Amino acid sequence: MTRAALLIACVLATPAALTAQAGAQARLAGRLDAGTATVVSGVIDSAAAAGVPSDPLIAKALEGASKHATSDRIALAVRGLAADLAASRGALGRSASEADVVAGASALRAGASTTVLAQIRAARGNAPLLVPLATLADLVSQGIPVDRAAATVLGLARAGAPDAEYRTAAGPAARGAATAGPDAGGRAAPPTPVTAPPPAARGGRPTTPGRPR
Amino acid sequence: MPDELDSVLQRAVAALRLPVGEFDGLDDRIMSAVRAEAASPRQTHVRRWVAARYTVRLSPLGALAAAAGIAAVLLGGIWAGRRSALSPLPDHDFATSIAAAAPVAGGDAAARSVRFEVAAPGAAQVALVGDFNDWNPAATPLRASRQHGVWSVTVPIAPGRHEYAFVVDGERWIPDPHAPRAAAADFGSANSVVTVTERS
Amino acid sequence: MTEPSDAAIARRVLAGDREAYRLLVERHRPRLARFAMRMLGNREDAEEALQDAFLRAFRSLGQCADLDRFDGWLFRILANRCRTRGARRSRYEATFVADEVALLAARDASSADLLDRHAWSDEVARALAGLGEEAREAFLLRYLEELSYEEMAELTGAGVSALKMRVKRACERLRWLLTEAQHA
Repeated sequence: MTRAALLIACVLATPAALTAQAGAQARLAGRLDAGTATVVSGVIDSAAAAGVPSDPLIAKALEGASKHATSDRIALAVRGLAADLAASRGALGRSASEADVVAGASALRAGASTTVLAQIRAARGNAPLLVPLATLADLVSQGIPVDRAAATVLGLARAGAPDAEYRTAAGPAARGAATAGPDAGGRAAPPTPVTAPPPAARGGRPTTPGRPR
Repeated sequence: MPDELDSVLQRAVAALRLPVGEFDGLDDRIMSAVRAEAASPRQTHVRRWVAARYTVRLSPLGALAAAAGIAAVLLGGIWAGRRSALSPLPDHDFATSIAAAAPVAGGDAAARSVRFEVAAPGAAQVALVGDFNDWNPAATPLRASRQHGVWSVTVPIAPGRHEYAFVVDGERWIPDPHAPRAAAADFGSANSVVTVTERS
Repeated sequence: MTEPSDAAIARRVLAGDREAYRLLVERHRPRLARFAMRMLGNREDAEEALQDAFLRAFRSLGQCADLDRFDGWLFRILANRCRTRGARRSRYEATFVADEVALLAARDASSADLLDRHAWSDEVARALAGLGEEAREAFLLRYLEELSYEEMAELTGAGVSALKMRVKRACERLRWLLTEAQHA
């Protein structure tokens, strides 16, 4: 990058960087040690200048803090996520919403390619991308080969399918999850009957149903 | 080493050129497969159909139809499900992360009410943690419901894809057993995913 | 005694000497394994791709147009296997995390220099994981395998200018990721 270009980039980036920095530091303070907070803030600043949303990066750092991860690990995780978000932003374009970019990054992390993201974007036109991208990520992260998952989602996108059809198209379990009453809150997971776990041993840990993998 | 790379990338390529370690027994395994191949090519081909995952290169929709058809034949079962080229996963228990949720009454216009629920009998406390509450175990405790051992809470969450988990008794992190997992576990323990959409 | 050429060994295999194929496997597996590992990021996927590629090559050995260029023909089969594998990002990162654990475990015994090299290799692997598949493949073909753009075009089916663009973007992205890493 030439000096002039670098200078211009800095000037243009400064407002976004300052805002990102102020917000980030407020949420990171007290949760991360100073050194880690500085590194993470640095990543967030660079990312913001590249059009990458800061919130997911802050959340990633705080996740690491809550899980008592080492400073190195937190920095690596934040950098990795920043790269994925940048790739998602690149594939989905500047006009994509933050939610779309995050969903796109999830799909990339699960194994989809930026090509597929761009194809979904092209197929959906101006419609929001959250549901197709989330469906793609869900399918792939559950072991469906990425080619097949991408074909499914692209098929729906090119057919102009409404969001509801993404939830139901994939199978019986998903169909059960789609219907929520008008006044009820949405469920975070498909309504499966909660089976009574075996009685906990005296002073024992609660058992939660294992998830088949 | 190519001249057109700068020093950072030259160092990177140098690292990539380093050997990638032992592949113990791989040569043996390859030769076993080669011997089996030479012995009975047709039989091997059929075995590969059963064992292989999606090695046939057809057009995407063709591959879906082929895979579905073959799965039905080989498993001896009947594929009862939507016979549409757009629904290719009849034999897989797909759990979607997508939750259609109502707007929060009187709150932030964008947020939606999402209910989280987990069975944890014997627990003294259960908390919800996620990117929507800065992963803070103190922020969102669940309430034990009348149904024995079931804990739940309803929270406002902005539309988008979110990761979360439960913290049991302040120290044990567990994912939601009934929700899809996040693809990468950056810090060791797995997270669950919920995708909040606006009601459609 | 000079070693037999790929073509000579291949002709023996085609004549019925199945065990001779092992010589080709042993000769080419290191280079192919290096590419598969860098491309796919984890040992499990790399091994599957390698096994698959060698088996396919054995099966279609009779269709290799020019046995004197067996190595290029075999490599193309592997590259295709890697591409259709669609390796999952999650696995790529899971491997990286495992390496990191090993690195931390070695901290006590290793010299600082060794540690730095390990750390750098991990950073590079991590940065590679940050590229899309096509970009990663293009970068590796150009700078790891040192193919010409014409050879890359023949191998991938993409045009030369498209490949140049992919390589350029891959370099930019890698530089960004690695520079981030150095500032940490």
